[in-house]
Amino acid sequence: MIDELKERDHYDEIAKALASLIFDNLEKSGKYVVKSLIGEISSGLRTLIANGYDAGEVLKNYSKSVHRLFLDVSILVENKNSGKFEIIIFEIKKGNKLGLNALAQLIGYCLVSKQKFGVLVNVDDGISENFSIILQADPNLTIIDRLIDDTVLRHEIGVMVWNSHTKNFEYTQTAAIKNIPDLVKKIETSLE
Amino acid sequence: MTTNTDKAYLLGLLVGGGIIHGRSMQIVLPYKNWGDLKINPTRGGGIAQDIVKRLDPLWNSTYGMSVYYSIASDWKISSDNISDDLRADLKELGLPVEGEYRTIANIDKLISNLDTYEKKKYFLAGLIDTVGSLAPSHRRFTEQFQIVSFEFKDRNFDLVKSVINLLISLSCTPDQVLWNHPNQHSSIDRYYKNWKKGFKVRVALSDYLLSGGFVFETKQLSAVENSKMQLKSVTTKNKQLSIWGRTCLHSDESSLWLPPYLRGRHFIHYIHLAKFLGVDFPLASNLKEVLENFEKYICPFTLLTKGEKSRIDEIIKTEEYLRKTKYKEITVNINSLCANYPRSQSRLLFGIGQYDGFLCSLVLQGISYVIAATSGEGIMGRRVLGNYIDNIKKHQNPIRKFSIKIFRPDRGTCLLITNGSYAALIGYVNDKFNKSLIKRESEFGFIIKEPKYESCILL
Repeated sequence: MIDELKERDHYDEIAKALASLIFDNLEKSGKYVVKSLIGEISSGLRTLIANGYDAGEVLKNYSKSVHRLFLDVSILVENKNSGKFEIIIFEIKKGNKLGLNALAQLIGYCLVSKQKFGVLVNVDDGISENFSIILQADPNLTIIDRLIDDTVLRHEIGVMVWNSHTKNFEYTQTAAIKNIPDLVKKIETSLE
Repeated sequence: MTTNTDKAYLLGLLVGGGIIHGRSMQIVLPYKNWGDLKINPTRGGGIAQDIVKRLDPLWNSTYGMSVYYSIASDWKISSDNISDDLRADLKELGLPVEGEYRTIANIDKLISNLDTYEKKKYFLAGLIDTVGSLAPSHRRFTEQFQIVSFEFKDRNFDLVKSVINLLISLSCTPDQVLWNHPNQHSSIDRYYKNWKKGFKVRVALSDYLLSGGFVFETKQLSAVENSKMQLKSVTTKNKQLSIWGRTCLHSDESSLWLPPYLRGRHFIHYIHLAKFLGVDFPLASNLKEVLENFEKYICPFTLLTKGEKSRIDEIIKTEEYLRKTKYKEITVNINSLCANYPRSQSRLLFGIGQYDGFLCSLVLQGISYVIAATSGEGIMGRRVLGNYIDNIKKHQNPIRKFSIKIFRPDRGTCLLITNGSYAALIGYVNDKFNKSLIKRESEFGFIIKEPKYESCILL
């Protein structure tokens, strides 16, 4: 079977699945709003708000200050009680096995956007053997503590596979974020 | 404990095929021909990949356990050291930590933990990846209506009920349910003993593909393959309850093998049994009306029992009302019975009026069986192959040719058809008499009293 779909052809299905999975795994989902975004994050957030999304002040300010970053898929989770939010960045790859280049790109996005969580996703393919050895030899490679104004901002990265046939995430056991429920737990802790 | 989608999936696998002994766990995948390496080596390779690439990381990242596969008569997923985390979750969900899951598990507490659409979907995916059958032969009449079938052995009615409720909550109303109950597996033969053939919860493939999912890629690919046989998406939604014919009072309805709450109760349809168990089945708007006329859907005698004459003699000897019955030979014009077919199939013959007697279609099936069994043509076991009318018509004067005699009972019990080597019993139908045997104990609870010879209708 020839797979003619390009990487960006999968963005919609991945974004849709993520929003549903993350929301349905939240323990107290009633106080959260989960939205999926595709493409440039700054205008994406501003468009969302302009279209009537009742964002908290923190998120509104962030949407004005964040740099223009062309992200494949990102998921916004906002705690409506506290006004805190997280944007989880998903860097999607297709065609080649994941390697250091892709990881470096995702870490860059997380650092620039100051968002804690990022997940590297390969469509229907795993990670290269070399990359797997690197990640397993150094588990801290996907945990980055950054000091900003005397406060530590911890970034955590996951490496997963999107199975475009079953529409499921599969796990590589190589990074700080182990699986989707683990990611959701980290989001909830962060937004408490 | 708060469950999540990954745990829901893994627990679905366990409920579907799990066996726990001490620290070891096995999940049996009853794939039969579908997963046979010799029949389909490509798929076999895919199943191995599914276990190694998808399941092992999932077990590892969720419960810190490694799994591996083995192939004997079935595929098996095994772990030699189940983790404390898994044991703790099982205990908290009221699930057993020892034994075969689909036999003993009560999943009520687990189901109440599946509080979101995705969690329900993933639990069902775990079940379908184990006990979900995707053989293309699962269909409703034609391959244009493909079915996915959840199959369970033994007598865990509670488990099957919970699975049906879950499917309904995901808008996957079963197209048909086959309960492991004599009224389902032997609805016309009161004396058939091998009725424990398991449960089948059959869902329209299109409905499942819309709301459910798979983790095994091999299963997903099979589902897509099967769905391509359909020219369009087909659904069970809006299906009406339709009841074909009557069900006989089976001799095992009070069997101790059945759960106590089912013993002695009679069910005329799978939705009737589902409703009795408390399933909110959406396709049953006309069930109430049907149950008001319960006598029209039952027969207290066997409707059709076939076999060697010695078997039928044994049945007559052990069934008191048949033993006391006096049988008198009658003459039957087989040509006229066949000529009016199929118009005549619901006609009642040899009774005392228009509304009692023996169902024409069953009389003809009995005759057809004796012919086929005697000639050895067009028969498999006790099943006549092909059209039973054609099997009669292909012989010139079959009654004489096969020395068939038909005996009418002196009271409304059973008609006997035999040629000395093979025989068939056909049950007497009389709605007024049926009504006298019915005791309705609740909205869906019906008990049929065993008839006594002395109270049977004098013919």
